[in-house]
Amino acid sequence: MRFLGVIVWLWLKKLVQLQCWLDIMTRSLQQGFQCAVTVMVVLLAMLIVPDAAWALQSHGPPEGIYVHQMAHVFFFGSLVFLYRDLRHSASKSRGWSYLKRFCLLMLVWNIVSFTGHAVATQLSPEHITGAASYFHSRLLGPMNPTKVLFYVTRFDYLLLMPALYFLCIGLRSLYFSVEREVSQGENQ
Amino acid sequence: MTGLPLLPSILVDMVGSIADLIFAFLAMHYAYLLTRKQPENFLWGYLFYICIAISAFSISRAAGHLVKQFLFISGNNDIWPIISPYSGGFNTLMLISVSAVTLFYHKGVETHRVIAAKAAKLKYANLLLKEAAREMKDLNLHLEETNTHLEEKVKERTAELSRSEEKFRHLFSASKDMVYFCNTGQDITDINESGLEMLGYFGKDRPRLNLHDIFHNEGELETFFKSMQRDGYVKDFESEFKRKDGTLINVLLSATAVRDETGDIISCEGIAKDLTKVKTMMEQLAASEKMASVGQMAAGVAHEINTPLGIILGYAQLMMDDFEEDSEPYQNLLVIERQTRASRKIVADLLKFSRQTGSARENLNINEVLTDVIAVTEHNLHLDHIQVHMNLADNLPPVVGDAEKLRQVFVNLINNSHHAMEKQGKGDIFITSWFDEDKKQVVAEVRDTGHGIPADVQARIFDPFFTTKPVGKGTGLGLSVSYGIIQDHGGNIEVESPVIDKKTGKKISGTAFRILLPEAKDPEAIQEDKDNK
Repeated sequence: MRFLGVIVWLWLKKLVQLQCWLDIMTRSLQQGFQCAVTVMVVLLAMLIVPDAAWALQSHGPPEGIYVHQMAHVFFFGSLVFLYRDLRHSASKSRGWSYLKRFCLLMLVWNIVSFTGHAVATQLSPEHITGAASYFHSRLLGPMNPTKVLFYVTRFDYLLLMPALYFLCIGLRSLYFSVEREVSQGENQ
Repeated sequence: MTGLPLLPSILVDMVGSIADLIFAFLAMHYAYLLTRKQPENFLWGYLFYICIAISAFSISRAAGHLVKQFLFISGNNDIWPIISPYSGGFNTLMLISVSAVTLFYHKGVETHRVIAAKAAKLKYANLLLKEAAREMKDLNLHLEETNTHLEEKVKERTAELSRSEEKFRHLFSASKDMVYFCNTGQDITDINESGLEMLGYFGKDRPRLNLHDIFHNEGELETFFKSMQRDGYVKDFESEFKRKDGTLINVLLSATAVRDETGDIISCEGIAKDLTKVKTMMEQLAASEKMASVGQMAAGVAHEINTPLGIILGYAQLMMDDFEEDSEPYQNLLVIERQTRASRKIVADLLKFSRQTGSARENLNINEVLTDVIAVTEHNLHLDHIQVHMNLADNLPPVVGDAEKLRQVFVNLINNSHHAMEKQGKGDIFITSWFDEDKKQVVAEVRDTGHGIPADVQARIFDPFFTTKPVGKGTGLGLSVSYGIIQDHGGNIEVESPVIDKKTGKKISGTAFRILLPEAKDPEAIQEDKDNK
């Protein structure tokens, strides 16, 4: 059993390697299929020998927000990488510059959103009243930095909206430039 | 009431959610269009995946927010805690998905670049290959064209060379003159058939010859070499070549030296013309001129001497009547009369030689003349065991001439033959006649098997008073008179000694005289000679 566990561990190790995922993305369909089969085999092995999976644990209530926040951090990091790549490698055309703006706004949104989630955990429902109606809900005073941050971060869509707008016009611009190139190529 | 109203944030949340959904889907749409436009471009595919993830994220977020807002607005606050974990979990999941896809952009682009670079290299290589193929095709076409052109040119040049070779080969082999090539060692490397025949080599007899072998005079050869060295050529160089049988021929030689790049002579080529016949003809012409002069002189002398001789003879005969036959004066006068008659005969012969005597011309058959002559002379010939062989051609055309004088000519020739074979005690005389179609001449030949005429005297035999006979046997006027008669008939007299057999090419001891007389133009006419020169 221990031997089987070691094999499963090695397979897992292989799976988490970037190259395997890249195989799925960039290599042929056959290699991607082989990789997917490997994943299924590992999962089945874990179900067959649960005592060797070592990972069975309960997930309590705070775990959700932790995972969400970690996801924000992960997203932030990936955006940093993307922005860096766009700056260093991408074309100077208008479409790519819109995409860079999308990256920057998304980075800021991540920070705002992360902060909003963080301060929300500091506030209890008593700090918000909605007695009259939902539209008349208010953040009750006295105001402190936590409450102010909470209030400000509730407007995160003001960042997310333009970010996605830039994503949209960036791709649109890229599409039109490609279309122009193709039509010019056809004319020549 | 202190605090801040949440309505603005609620409105922003609702509007933002809807706007996010719209923008996210629009972005996905353009990304999709990009993938359709350039399916082979990895970047568009990747951006399309990001857009899908972001759209999913937007749905998870906007939908959750809108549901929450509507639940709260509608007063169903208690439902939200049930939905909230699913909405939040889905939202987190989508956030991680977006992060994961975004994170792989770097590697994806890097891989794409590597592939794109390789594709570009491949494309460039393909372009180069295409260009090379096109150039090769052009080159091949050009080569084919050049090759075809070259083949045609080679064929043309080969044909020209062949024609030229044939032409010069024909000139070389068909030339009647000697054409030869020799090396620096004076060895003759190539010589034409005419050259070999000129030197007496016939058939397959092709010896290795050297200029030293064929030049008779070493001094002439030395002069020839010096001229070649100095001038590079020799023009109209008269020389004597030695034939295979040792006889000599006169040649007119022209030769050119062939030099290499450094100017050294590497070979020579020359043409030699046989002048022997021309030279003989020239000698005969000179002799003829001499004979004509001698004839004129003889005629003058004969005229002058004939008169006093007649007077001497007349007075001698008159005086003889005055003496007894047994007396000494009579005997002396008899000697005077005999010698005067002999002198008158000589004078008469001289006049005949100079054609001062009259003659009658008529059409006559030369065979008849020959038969008459043989009839007269045959008896004497038989006494010395000399056989006469006659071979006379039938249907000979007539010739115009004086039968008596022509008889005299043939009598002279037969007498000479008789004398040539007298000492041998036997011999043969061949009398032959034929008609030369080319020259339109009737030829009569008298050939004996005697000792022949030495080469050094052949040029003088027609001179008056020239004789090789003992004193008292001949006057030396026989051939001179014959020569004069034949000349007077518009003919020619040839001598050949020794005789060359035409069939075998061998020499036969003896002498042949050929009388060549022109064919009568009008066979029926009989002419009386009116010119008594």
